[in-house]
Amino acid sequence: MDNVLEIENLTMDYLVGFWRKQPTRVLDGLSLSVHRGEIFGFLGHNGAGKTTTIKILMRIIYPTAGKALILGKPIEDVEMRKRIGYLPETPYFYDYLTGYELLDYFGKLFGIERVTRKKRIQTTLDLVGLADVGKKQLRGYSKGMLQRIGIAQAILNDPEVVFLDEPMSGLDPIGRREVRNIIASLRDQGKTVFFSTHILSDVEVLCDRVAILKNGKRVAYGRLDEVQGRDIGALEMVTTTVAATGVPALTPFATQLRQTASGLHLELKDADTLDQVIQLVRQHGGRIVSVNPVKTSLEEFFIKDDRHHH
Amino acid sequence: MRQIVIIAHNTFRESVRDKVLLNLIIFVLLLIGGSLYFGELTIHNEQKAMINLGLSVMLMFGFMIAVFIGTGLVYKEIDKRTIYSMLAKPIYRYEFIIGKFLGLSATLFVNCVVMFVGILIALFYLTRQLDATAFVLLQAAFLIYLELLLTTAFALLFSSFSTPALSVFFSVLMYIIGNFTPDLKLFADLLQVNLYPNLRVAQIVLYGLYYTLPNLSNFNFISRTAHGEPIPGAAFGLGIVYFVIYVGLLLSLTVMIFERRNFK
Amino acid sequence: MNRQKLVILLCSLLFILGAASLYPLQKAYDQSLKNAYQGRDRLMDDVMYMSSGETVRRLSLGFDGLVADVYWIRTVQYFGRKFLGEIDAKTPPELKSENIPLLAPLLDIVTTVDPRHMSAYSFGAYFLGEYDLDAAAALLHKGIQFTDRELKNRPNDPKYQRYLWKLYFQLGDTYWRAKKYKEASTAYRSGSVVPTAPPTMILLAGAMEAGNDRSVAYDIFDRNLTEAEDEVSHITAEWRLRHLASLDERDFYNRMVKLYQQQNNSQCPASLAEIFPLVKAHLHEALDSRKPARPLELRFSPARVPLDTSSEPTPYRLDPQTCKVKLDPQSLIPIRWDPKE
Repeated sequence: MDNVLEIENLTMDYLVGFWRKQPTRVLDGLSLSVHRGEIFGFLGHNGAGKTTTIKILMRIIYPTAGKALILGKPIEDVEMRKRIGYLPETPYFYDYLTGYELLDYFGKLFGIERVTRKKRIQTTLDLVGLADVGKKQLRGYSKGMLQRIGIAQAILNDPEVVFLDEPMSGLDPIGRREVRNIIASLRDQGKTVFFSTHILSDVEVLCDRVAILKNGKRVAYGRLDEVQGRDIGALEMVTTTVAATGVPALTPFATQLRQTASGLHLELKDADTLDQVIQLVRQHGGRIVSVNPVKTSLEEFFIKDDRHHH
Repeated sequence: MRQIVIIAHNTFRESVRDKVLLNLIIFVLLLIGGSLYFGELTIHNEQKAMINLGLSVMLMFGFMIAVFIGTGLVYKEIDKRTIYSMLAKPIYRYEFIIGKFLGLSATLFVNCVVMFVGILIALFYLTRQLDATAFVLLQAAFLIYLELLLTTAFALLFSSFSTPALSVFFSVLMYIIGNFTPDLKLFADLLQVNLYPNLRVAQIVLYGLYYTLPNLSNFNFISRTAHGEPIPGAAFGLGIVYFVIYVGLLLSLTVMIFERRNFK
Repeated sequence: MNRQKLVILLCSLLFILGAASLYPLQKAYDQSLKNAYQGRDRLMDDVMYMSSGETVRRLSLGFDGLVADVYWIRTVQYFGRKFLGEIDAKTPPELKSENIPLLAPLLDIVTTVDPRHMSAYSFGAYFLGEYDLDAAAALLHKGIQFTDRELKNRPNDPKYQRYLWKLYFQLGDTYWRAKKYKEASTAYRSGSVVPTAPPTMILLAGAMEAGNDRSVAYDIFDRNLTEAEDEVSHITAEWRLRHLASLDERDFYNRMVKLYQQQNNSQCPASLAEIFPLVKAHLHEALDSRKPARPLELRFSPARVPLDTSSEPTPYRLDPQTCKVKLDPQSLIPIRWDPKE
């Protein structure tokens, strides 16, 4: 398979302390590869080493050890950077420029010709929904708008692979959904997306594969369901009101069952019993309103993960 | 080269938008006010006083721009993390540094040109004539511009490894020291080494400092110009060579530091 | 090798080359300025640039003390360089106003920017007095004017009292050297009425009026020798006393030479050694001008030639033309400051 990113044994030590500097390992022998055309989720707590990894890839910091290839080129290759995009964590740009000027500036640095550049800027601004405020100085942008202009500059050069560092952080629910849509549409265009997050649901919704980082070490890597051990976990079901006989019939399948004004709310013990339960609800005159997996928080995921490994 | 020009252009735009050039208005007002004042005050010396005032203020304003913008140039990018998205672009770090330097050089250039024209106008207002002094004035102003660029290079160097406050402090210190180097030499020359052999070490140290520290007085012909003396051709030429070498030295040091630096 | 390593390598090379070329470059630059201005120094322009102390004071923006100190250092360096000769020159330049045009304006700037800079008045007057006694007197007058005004504001400040009579003392000395005995007398007298002034001053005032009285001079410097507060005054007093003794010695030897001529058909002695027997015979007449007189401590070389009174005694010379006893040119008894010679 064609890998657009290959990381091998990447290690980073920071010297901390003012007087007698002690090396602290923030990234410990990370290896992974990202296939062309997939959305890759890079998951971990704050401080797990996600941003460090991306900064190494962008040559903002230099690794202590290890190497990485992007699009088959070593990361110090400057020409290769014309084919990638990068959104920094909580991005901030030259606030004296307008959105349009910023993209124009970066477009020039990417070496995009004038005519093409103009067109690209317009379509990109449209895509991120900033077409109206392109003539406004960035100092007047809200946090969400900055995030979007950040995405715009990351995809301005029509890159083959995009690195997004916490693209959803600091956004309201609508903003998050919009960013999700943008990421999904990038995949549809055949681009590879590598994004970091500390929110599991973002990964679940979008990602083909993930790597999970903890204290600078890779603790899980692969397809999300593989990583979670095919364990879909508990399901949550909401139904309309069922006949009185229905409740005792359903009780054995549920860990929790609550009667509400409009119906039933129950949590299933086993996802495999879903079909059976739906059958029972219907038999007792109820209708399914929704079935959702009970959200595993990242916290729980790591607890489980620890259990798996120890 | 292309990338350097693009970065320089943006740096220039930044200083323009930061209303740096507003100080020009203050300068011109000061100059005109000053020329009126001097016209009242002095009988024979208006021209001399005018040139002294004009060139000195040009140096002073330029110095403030060079130091305050020069020290913030790189630090601000690191502090606000705008440098992250910059470094991910297809540019080399040295292109970034050189571009920043050239951008501020352009700002200073515009400043100096406007100020120079201001001096000429004020001079014309005073003396009602323009003679050969204008050319010497141009030379002197050009050397001041070079001095400002040297200061900028220093500011850039300091800001590549320290905070703006410290960088400003270092830059001002450098400027003061740079203007006192002739005294170092004078002092070293005066040491009676033959009489007191143990002063030899002190003399060598002083000479060492004199030849390695920036000799900003190499660029200062303000008073001579005010006296209508021409700038010696050889000194003018060597001053330019000195500038080129010293700036090259400072920029390569800055690039060396910057290339290895991790941005947290 | 990747591009970054190449850049760093090139920069290091550039840095080393640049640093190495700084020395020859600055040397060439200094030479070019020297050629263009024929040895006229940078300082000249700096000073002429602001020739008025008032301007400097206004421009110093509250840093007057610092600015005055800087100017003072420059003044000392300027004078030192001139005094020792331009560094390349083998011989010191003649001390003339034309050769040291900036000393007076520099001192004026220092004392205008910081009028309390007492050493600028006194040392400045010493420097200036080397060649321009009028300028020295003018500087001292400026200092006296300021100190006098200050003293009116705080009449009992012993510090300013001392400043004032010291300046008057020096002013008197300066006029004395300029052979303006009347002005010298006035200066000493004005100083003597300042509280804490040493009693020698009134003596000096009288002496100036009486003309050039060597006994008074002895008196003054005898006192100075014992009362001197600082090393310079002490050394000066000691040197003055040696000088006076030498004058007395020469008077005595000249009398002996005259006696020799009387005894030898007006023939001048071939060498001073020849008057040794006369000296021996008239030793009781070898007295100094003190009142009461004390015997002179005559010294002789092994060849019986009389030696001078300096710390490194040098034989006196006999001028064959005039048949007078003179100091050897190498003698440490300085000739320059001797008003009688």
